[in-house]
Amino acid sequence: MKELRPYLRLLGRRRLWLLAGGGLMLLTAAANFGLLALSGWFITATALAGLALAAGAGMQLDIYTPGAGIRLFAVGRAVSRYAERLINHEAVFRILADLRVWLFRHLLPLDTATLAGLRNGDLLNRLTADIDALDHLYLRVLGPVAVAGLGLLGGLAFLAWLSPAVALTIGLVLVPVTLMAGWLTARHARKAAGELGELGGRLREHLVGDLQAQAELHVFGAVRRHLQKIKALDHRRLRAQQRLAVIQALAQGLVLAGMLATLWLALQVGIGQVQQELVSGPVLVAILLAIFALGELVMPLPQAFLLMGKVRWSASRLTELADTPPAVTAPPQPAAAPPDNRLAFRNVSFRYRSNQPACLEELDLCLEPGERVAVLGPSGSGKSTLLRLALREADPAQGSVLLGGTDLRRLDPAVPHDRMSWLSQRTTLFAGSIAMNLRLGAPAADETALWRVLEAVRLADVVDQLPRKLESWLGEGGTGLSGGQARRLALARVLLKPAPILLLDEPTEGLDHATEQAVLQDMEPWLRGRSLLIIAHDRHRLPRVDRRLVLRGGRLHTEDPTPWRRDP
Amino acid sequence: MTRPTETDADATALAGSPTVMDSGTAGRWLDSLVRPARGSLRLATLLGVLHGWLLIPQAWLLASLVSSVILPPPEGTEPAPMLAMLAGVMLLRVITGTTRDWLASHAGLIASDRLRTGLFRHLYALGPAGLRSRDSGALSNVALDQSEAVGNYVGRYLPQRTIAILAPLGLLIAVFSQDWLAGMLLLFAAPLIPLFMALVGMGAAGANQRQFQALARLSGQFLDRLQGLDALKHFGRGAATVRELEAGSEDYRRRTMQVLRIAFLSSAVLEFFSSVAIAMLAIYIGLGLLGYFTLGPAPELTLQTGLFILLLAPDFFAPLRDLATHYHDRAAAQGAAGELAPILEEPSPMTPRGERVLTDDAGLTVQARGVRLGYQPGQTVVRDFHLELHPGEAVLLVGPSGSGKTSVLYALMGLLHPQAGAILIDGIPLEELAPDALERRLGWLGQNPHLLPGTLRGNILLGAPDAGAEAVRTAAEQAGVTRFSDTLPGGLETPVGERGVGLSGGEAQRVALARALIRKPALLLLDEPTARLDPDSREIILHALQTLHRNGTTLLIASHQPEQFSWADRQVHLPRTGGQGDSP
Repeated sequence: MKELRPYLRLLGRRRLWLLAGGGLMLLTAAANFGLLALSGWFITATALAGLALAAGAGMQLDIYTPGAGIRLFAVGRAVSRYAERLINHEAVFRILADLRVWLFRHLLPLDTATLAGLRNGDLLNRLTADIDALDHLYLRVLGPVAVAGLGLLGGLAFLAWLSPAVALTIGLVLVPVTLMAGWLTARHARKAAGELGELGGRLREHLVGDLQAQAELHVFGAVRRHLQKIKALDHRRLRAQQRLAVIQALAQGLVLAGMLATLWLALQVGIGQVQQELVSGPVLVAILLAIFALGELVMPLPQAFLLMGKVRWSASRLTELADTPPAVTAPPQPAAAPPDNRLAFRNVSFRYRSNQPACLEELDLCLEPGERVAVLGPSGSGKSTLLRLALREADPAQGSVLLGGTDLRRLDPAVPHDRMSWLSQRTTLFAGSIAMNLRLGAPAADETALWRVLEAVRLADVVDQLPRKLESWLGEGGTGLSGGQARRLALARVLLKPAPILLLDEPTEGLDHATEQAVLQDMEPWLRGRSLLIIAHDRHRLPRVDRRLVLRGGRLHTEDPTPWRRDP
Repeated sequence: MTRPTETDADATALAGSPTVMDSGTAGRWLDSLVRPARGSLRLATLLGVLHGWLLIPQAWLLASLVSSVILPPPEGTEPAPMLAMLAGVMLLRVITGTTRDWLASHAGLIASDRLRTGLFRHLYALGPAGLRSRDSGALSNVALDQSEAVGNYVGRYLPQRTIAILAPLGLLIAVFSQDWLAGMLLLFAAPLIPLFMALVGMGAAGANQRQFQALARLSGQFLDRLQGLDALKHFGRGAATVRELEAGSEDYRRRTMQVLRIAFLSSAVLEFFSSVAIAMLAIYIGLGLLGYFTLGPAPELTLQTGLFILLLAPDFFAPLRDLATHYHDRAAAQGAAGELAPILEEPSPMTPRGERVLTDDAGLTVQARGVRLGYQPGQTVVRDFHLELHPGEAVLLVGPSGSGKTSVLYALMGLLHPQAGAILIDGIPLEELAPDALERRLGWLGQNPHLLPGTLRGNILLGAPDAGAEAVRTAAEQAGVTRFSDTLPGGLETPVGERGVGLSGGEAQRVALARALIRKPALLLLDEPTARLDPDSREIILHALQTLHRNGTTLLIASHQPEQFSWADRQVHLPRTGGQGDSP
């Protein structure tokens, strides 16, 4: 249960809603209990009174109070059920928002490389499934279990007041059998949830891989082999699902058997009690009908325990992700933000994993304010890593990165993000208007500025032809634009952000040659007066720059005849 | 595959409207999926109805026992035999209930598994040409998640649909047999069961659908922001986005609750009627037993019949309530049908194959004669294409992007069946060749290398599963894989893909080349093999191709940068409008 602790804390913040919702669930159960028990008592009592009347005795039964009680319980059951559904949905919506915001807050301090991993379908899919599972924690797991526990306790206490012997019989059968069914499901459910999740993940991973590599599979005659592998994985998953279904059916059967056995034994004991005149006939019937009401409380428990296994597994995965340690930590007392914007790499070495070769080795680079430097090099040479180090998305293994002469490690981690405007290799657009996407880095930019920057990336005509122009809505992930248009919109956003340093990672990736050259030329005014560190794998895909360097073997080499200055 | 999150007119215009399926078509489609599970499903339904009907003897025995014990003067009947019979009925109820649950889940699982198996087979039969415009991640999710939704529908909703009619009907008849007025009361509470069900169904479906839509929108917004978390963080929008999410949730909650307040009323009506019916029955029976109520059959009521009726009343409504809770399974399955059916109905674009084999083991001669290609009837990508490719030749397929170079390569590999014209391999029409006859001799290198989950070695072995370590090593060297794999601690055993080391595009392309080379192909088809590579990887791959050419491998290279392949023997042009290729 340890894995649920953070989520229970989250639920705790809405305890009033939960108490109200849970209270109404209990009230509904109580009304149901009352309706059945009182109705049973009433018809038995009237039957006895009716016989007495027929035998000439006087009427000794007050029929108005129980009659009113029955009507009250009936209407109360319907009304409290309706109120319970409303209140609980209010609660669930709030919990949902809490859960998402909580996760978002926990993920925010992670480094961008880890965050960029969220774009990977499998991880995102997993995350969605886990959050959906946790949504059920209150309404379908904790709620029914708590209400069953409390309802059973209250119901038994009331029955004990009517007949201790019969109540004891009920308690001794119904409670242990329910607990056993719960234990049986809970024990298997957690393991099965893990197994199913693992198999599902592998199945998805293989399916995605196979669908992408269809041409290879067909040409290499590997279709049948791979289809069989997928089917084998699917079959293993089916077997696990079937095992779980058997356990669930058994647990459900066990609860039903417990309920019916309780009824039967209570009847047996009750008949004895009536014959010994310890209990009246109407009370016996009330107790028997009350057992049906208690049965309605315990019947959903196997389902709740089954879901509990899934929720616990999801909780542990989600916590693991949310608790990923950030790649960099803020200093306890950050230094004041430096006044100037010289960006310097001093003797920097960096490797991704300790067992991998270094990707940057004793590298030196200084970007003076207003200077433009291009870094070229083959893919995988570590060009993008330079930008990540400049933003302090990671710390170098050796050496230091300085902004205005201050080591980034001594600054608030937000400072480099404030000073720099970064276009990452991947294009990220959001569901929202074009204007909203552009203003992300410059919330105060006016419409004229938006049009100007769209012109610079050659998108003004495209946007102008949309019926709602800047207010046109982009779907999730920027759908609706072609890859090249999306790239240019992302570039426009970065140019618009009023930061003194620009970090551009392959800004014209995916653009055709003519557009690329036009954009490189037209963005010139936006580069003026700012420092620029630009990355490309081709020297023809650059705007005008002061220096061109090549990253090879972890170090920078001069490409141009102009000598490459060492850091002063 | 991504859907717009707003019903904004622009959004639809930009993102394209999703396919919609009307509920009748979806229902028929869903019913066709039930076939493999029909046996279990029928048995589950039968047992469910029996389980419900067994309430009748259970209530009868309970009522008789109780009234025989309570009513003075004691009739002196021995309760033991009736208690034994009651135990028997209860045991039968446990057995039928448990078996019904198990069989119903089984039917659901089988139906979803069959659907999935068919879907997998169909997806693989569509091949790269059929799947070209679909996102494989989204497609996998659809295949796995939506089949589950269909399984839930089959296992939970379908049996309950019949049980919810037949079980209450049995109870109603039992009540009528004892007291027609009580029976009328139940009928009044549920005017006509089908009508009542429709009411419940519409209400529940409406509520569920609205709730789902709201939730889907909320999730859409959340996922969208989550995917771009790195960018939001960089632009300093973390805190602002948290506020936006909170406001969005709050707004959705308020709007959805307004709808739910009304929508929940329909289930409240069901709840109200069942509560009131029980209460009215109890009062009617009580007054009848007292002799205060003398209308119709009331004077004949006894404690035994009264109790019998009262015991059955709650269970008269229970199956209806169960059906209402499973209603969202139906809505979800209809959504699934809308997504899955169009995929399953798409015909395979591949060339059907025969049984002939290729006898000559030397080179392959490939001929295309007047080939017309397209992905849909009426749409033509390549028109009247001719090609004559002789053993040992290196031919460039040149044309601007969109001129159908990839389509031509697909057609030559049998992955896209020509709308007209013929493709001959060593003079034999492609459709007469056995499925593996051509492929055994073929290599392929696409524009985007796709590595499968596994090790580098496993990926290279995809080309020739039985190849030995020596052959893998040679292919890896030829393709320049060893240049980077030797610096990795695991060497060729290094895992790649989502759970392994991330390779750069150039490195991945070299692995893809290695797995084509390990097949020692007589004919190698390449689609823009160097388009997205860094200069180093490009050099390595060009060098490897040139060596292959010298050693006599036939090469057909689609490229829009022919200057890189100056050593090729000749060029075949493919104009944008779809063209002629070789002169016939």
